[in-house]
Amino acid sequence: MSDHRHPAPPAGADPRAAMRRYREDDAVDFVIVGAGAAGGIVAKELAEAGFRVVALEQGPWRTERDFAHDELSVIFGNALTNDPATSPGTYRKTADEPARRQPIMTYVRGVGGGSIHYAANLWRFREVDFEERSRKGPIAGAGLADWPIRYADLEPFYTRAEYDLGVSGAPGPRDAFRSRPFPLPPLPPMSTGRLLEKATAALGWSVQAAPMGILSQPYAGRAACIGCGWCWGFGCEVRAKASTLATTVPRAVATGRCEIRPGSYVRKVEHDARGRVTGVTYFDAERREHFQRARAVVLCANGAETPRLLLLSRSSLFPHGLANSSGMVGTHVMFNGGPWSFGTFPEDVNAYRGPVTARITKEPYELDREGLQGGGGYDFRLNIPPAMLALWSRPPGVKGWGRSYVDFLRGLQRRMVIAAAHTTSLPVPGNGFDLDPELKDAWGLPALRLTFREHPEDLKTYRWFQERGQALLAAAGATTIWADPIDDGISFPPPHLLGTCRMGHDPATSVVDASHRAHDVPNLFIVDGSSFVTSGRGQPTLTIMALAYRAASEMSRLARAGALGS
Amino acid sequence: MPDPTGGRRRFLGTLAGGTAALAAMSWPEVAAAWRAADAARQAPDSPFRTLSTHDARTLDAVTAQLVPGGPAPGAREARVVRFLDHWYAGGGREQWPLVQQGLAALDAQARERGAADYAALDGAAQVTLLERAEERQPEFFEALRFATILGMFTDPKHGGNEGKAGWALLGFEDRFAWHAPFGSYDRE
Repeated sequence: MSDHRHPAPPAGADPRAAMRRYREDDAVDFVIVGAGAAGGIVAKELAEAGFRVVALEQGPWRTERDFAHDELSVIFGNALTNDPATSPGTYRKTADEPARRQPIMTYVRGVGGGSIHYAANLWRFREVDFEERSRKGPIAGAGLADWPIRYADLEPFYTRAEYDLGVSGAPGPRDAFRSRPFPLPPLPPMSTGRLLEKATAALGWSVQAAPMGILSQPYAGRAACIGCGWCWGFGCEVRAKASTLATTVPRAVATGRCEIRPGSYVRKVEHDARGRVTGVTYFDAERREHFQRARAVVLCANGAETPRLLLLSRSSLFPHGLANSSGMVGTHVMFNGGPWSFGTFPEDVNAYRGPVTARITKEPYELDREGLQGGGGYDFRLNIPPAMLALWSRPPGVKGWGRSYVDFLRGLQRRMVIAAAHTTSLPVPGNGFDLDPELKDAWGLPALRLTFREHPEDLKTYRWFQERGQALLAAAGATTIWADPIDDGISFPPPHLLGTCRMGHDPATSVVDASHRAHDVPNLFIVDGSSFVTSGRGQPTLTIMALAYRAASEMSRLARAGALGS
Repeated sequence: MPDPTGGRRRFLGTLAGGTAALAAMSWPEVAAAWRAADAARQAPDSPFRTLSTHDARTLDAVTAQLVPGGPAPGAREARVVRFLDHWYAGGGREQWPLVQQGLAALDAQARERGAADYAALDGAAQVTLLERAEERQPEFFEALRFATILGMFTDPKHGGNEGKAGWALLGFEDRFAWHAPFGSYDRE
């Protein structure tokens, strides 16, 4: 609980009070695994379409009053996120080296999922993000492919997401077509936005309002942002951040057809002799085992846990894992690149106050002219709470303790700015999650093993972004500027978990089709970051949400055409 | 838990005697800082749960070198040792044996230099031994630096960051509600 005083969230009944509840042996139309950015939307859409829905969520159902500005418990104690002590993982760079235990991913356990603690940078993709293979041709060592859908297919669902969740912003110079304006005006620029405007002007670059899932005005019964400054890594206690917890989940429950069941950790998707899924087996919070029957199963468990669940669900009929006849489950994982640069300014920027950012540049969205693959964009920010800042933010040559360290820290929270780059990362076949042969989680289930190293072309792109990030800081007037070395591996547990059950038309090279239906199992659907074919430019969540709206629409259509099991 | 009877009980007894008894102990700088803090707060002190008196004395000396006070309070004045006492019973539990070993090594090196223990060395010698630990026992050193910084800069409710001294050093204000102008560059 927070020690700090905050305005109460807008009045409204607890959605749990009158929630519909289903018996386990009642075969609901859809059981959804994961009530996060994707599952929280699919649940609402299917329930509003008239289907009977249960969403199982491994974490708790928190309310806004459970969110605290406590760095020790939230960031260092995993109060919101997966706990590597109970849900461990292992990591290796390549398949010929031993995997060692270490944190390999970050996601929120709880209703709302990653949309609870994200910075809420809700960028749309552009057309290029769906067709990089046909525009670029093959890239050696990368499994580059086009998506089976195009921007125009997803555009109506981006709009749905923006209006349901509440996105503040304004169109930028080369953004893709939008059918409706942003529902909310841009956030105030803050000092970081003014500095980015100065920097981009000096480089002759465009700058635009950041599309943020942070309310610039009251919207749909939710309060406007109070500027607390603790978006990144923390939950929003005034419901100004666009989480599914604050937006779509209450609407799903209000239909009277959707039950959200927290504390439910799914360990297997079950199927019948014909290979049709029949429901899921899960542990409740007391580790008692249950089986929820359903006519169809929807996996929205994120780009790590979704492939894990498919691999855990292997059987004599599906010896390599459910829906894995292609062998693609878990492969091609992408984390996006985040080659950041740092600077300090002579006057107070106070980037620790307010939303994470309010202005961005997408000028380097495509870097073909530089001879580089991919591209991305930048914002200026300081989304680092005090202890993290003191632990890890200092230029080379500044000692991490003693008198000179204290001198460096003086006023750092006011004066430091990150030129945060958000970039593509290539899908590499040998990068991916599979089951560790030895390590188990606290429930006795095989843990995930991550194999990952950067594609050499990505390293080139990251270096370009890091150098230009320093140039932007210099042009803005930063006095001390530095960057950390770029790792060929994971330097922190990644939160963007993409590409591990990719969409595609060909069952030999993809896991789900353009309707998010598993090629191998007609009543199994998958939609979350795992559906991505390529990575986009570093801000995946709005696309995950748009895919969820579109997938739910496809599920409704197919269900009415008789696709569900009995 | 090290030294669960003798040292810890003695220390608790000392605390029961109040700040005057603290001042009578063999670590006057600690007592002075804590007496000032207590006078300001008029709050009862928490008994140590994990640390022995000697642990506390050594950690006080080490953390005061890691984040030294000066014009602004450092780790000593921010009562990081009190945080560590909580931390090594909770979230940092697994690190405690490693840290204990490292502290014992610091004491041993101090004795080689003719001092009674690490805390009895002068400041320059304390710094020298920490520099050596950073180079030769990086795991221990980083574990202790990590925990010290957590104690200095996380919420005071966890025992450290007394008077929000760490936040004041960084320039962080815990108001949690801000509006334009946010800084010097968006004033126009």
